Amino acid sequence: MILSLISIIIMTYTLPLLMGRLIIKLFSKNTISYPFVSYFVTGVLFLYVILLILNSAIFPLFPNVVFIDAFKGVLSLLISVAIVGNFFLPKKDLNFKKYLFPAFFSSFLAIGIYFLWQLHSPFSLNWDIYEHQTLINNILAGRFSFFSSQISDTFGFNSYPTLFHSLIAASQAFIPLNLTNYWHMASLIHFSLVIFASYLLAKEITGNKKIALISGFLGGIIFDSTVSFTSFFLLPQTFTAVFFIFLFIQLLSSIKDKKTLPFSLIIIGGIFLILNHYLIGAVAFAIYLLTYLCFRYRNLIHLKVNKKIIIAIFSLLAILAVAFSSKLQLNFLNRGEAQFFNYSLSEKFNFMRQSYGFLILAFLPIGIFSILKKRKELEIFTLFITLSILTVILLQIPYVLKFYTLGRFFVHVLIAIGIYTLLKQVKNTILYYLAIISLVSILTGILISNSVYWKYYLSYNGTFASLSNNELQAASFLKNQYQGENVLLVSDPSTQNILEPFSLINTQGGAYMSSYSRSILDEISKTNDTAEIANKIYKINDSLIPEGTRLFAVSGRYFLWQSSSENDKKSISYNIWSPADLTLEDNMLIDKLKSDTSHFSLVFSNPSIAIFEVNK
Amino acid sequence: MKNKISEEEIKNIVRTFVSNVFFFGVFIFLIIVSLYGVLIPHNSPAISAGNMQITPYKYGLYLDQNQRKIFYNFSPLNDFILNNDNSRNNLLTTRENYKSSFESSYWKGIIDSIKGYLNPKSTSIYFNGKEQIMYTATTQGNKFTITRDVAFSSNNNSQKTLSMTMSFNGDDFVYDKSGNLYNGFLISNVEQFEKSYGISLNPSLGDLLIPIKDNVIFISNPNVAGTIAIKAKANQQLFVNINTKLIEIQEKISSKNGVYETSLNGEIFQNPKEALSL
Repeated sequence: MILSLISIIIMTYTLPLLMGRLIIKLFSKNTISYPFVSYFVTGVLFLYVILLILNSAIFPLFPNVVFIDAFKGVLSLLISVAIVGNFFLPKKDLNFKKYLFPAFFSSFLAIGIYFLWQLHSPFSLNWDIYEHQTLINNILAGRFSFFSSQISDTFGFNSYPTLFHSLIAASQAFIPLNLTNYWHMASLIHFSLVIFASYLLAKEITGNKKIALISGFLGGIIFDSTVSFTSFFLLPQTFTAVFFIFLFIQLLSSIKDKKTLPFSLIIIGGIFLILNHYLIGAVAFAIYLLTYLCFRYRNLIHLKVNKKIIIAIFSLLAILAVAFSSKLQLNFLNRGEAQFFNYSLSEKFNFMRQSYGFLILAFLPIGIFSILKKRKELEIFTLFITLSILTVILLQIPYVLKFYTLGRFFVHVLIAIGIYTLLKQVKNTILYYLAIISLVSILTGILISNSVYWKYYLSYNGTFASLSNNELQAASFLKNQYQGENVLLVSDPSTQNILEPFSLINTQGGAYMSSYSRSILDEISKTNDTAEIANKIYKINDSLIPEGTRLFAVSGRYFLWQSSSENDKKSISYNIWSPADLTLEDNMLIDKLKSDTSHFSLVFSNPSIAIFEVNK
Repeated sequence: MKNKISEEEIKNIVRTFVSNVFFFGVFIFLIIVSLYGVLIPHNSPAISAGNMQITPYKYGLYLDQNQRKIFYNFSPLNDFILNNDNSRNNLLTTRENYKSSFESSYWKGIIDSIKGYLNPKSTSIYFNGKEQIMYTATTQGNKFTITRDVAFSSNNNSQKTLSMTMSFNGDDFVYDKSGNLYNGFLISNVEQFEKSYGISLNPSLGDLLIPIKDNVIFISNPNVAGTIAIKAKANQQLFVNINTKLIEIQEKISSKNGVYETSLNGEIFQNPKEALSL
């Protein structure tokens, strides 16, 4: 765990920070607010550009160069240059004092809450890390591209380039790490940054440390557990959201200090956001740019724009959009996956209840009322952003819930203002602290209820898990036995999703198996002829990597998937989310396969999974 | 003058006190209402025993394995009192008026859900009908105990023969330590069972109510990855009832303070071979 923590801190966060500082200091002597944000985004973009140049210009010229060696070499060179270069730079901008308290507050809160979330769950509960790790493995193996769909057929839709994965790959390149511990540490650091960002955002908007503390606490204790997953899950969309908030904080601070942020930094920030996640990044950049322009030209807006008319038009458009958005037919997007991310208003209401109970309904109106009463410019603008994002989220079109990963930070500031508005009226010390204790207890109760609701279908052997030790054991066997060989592992989408990242063995699409492969797998369940099963397995092919020997993994998950409905089997969003052991009935098929020695050779078995080498 | 000042001071103190209490009250009310809005799953709180789990439901507790949809029930609708003439009266019938703690109050559901997450070692359900009946399940590792307390509405002091039961399914293998098979006679399944686990099963047809002499009975289902072992205590008698598909544990019990308490011990094993080590 410590090795993973050190690797992530140094390679994923510190190296870009130091590189970015060197670059910015070379080109600009100006002081900027929250400089670490610009340093980081600039450094990340610089590293990615280097990687793109290596891949497109250098490797074609020197085909014998091994990617991973070159990658490590470049990283080593850059970190040396970054450390030495920063050593010689003036240290005026390294004012850490103001970050000390929020950093400690965020870290300790993150550790405590993460422990509570992970109670009875030995492995990360983030299902998406498996597909991201698969991409990272491919990058480290030299299959690098700007387009994720060109690296692995797990990614059929280019929602984002490979910037996020390259950054993670940098921290996995040097020493072999326990991946399950790695993702715990990466998630914990990300979670600390979410709380840190929540605190700083409220502090910049309101200038009130107590509101900032409440907002930071909300940032940690509330888990938006449907689609957006901001706090506990490190994903391209949540990574983008956190750094959007840091960029936004920097912008607000500049506005308050009456210092114009260089437009070049705005553009660099925008590129960073979009290259982390096209959709979330684009919306984040739109908000970022709009904020910059509004405050840069605020005098013009005050003179030329009738605010009441604008508000009226906006409100009418919002109501019409929410009312008629369900008429739009967008469910075809992303190979039909979009239909499973298109939720009705009542479903969204239940998602809100799952994450917040009635907290939003109880305190958001008070926060809004307080803002309208005080009429502070930054708070009013925050209100406008929050209501805009919430309006978009209420639209009945696919994927809009993803924008809550951006919106939740602003919503929490408003809730924090609402909570503080009431709390400050309680002047009696005993009652005040009783109120605080009650608030912390109740919010913890909301998190626990959310955790229970989210995890209840993941029950396995006394834990809540999407991964088992038996599956890790199988993956380890595959890695030792077949790594580097030309093999394709075939199983149900969930088993593929789990085995591929840990075994380094290729599958057809991981959890995003193509509809053709799913239909073949479905046909396998309908026949008892083992020769026919073997032939069908060879019909499943990977579109990017030439096929070789087939390995067929039959797991408890596989059999549960096979017993599901046809519609479920065709669906990309349907998975057997938790591990399952093999039953007597399952063993009947396994014995049947074992008996056909000309087509099936059992190479591994444990209580959860049996793996065969398949001959045509 | 002095009196006027102190009257004003008193008014201010009262005003401040009322204001503090009012806002405190509103704040507490709002955060409690916030908690009331959370969602709780239907199978909460479930507790784990090995690779299975025990969960309250409308008519008692059930034992199952996640994703398998095969259930083993502990219910007062199945449990009975054995009368002197060997007739049986169920502890609860659907015809009578009764209240159960299952989903009786959303608040209770929320509290139980939170308690179950922090300390997932026990779960319970009670019934208030003609008799008052409570089931409590506790687990430790792969072992579980179902304790039942009954307070009868009348005749609360005499010794009674009470039976605790666990239901099983038509396709379950139900067998004893000697391999006598009392249920689950599908030949292909039996052959597969013997081949997979190296345990020989002898179909035992005949009686509908079979006493189990060595006080241990095993239940395996072809579609569940695990074997349940029910072990009766020395003062209990274990039966397999083929007719009602129940494992019965009968016990002569005297009441303590008007309550008749009995318990059923079980253990979950990964497979039948491991279970035979019991």
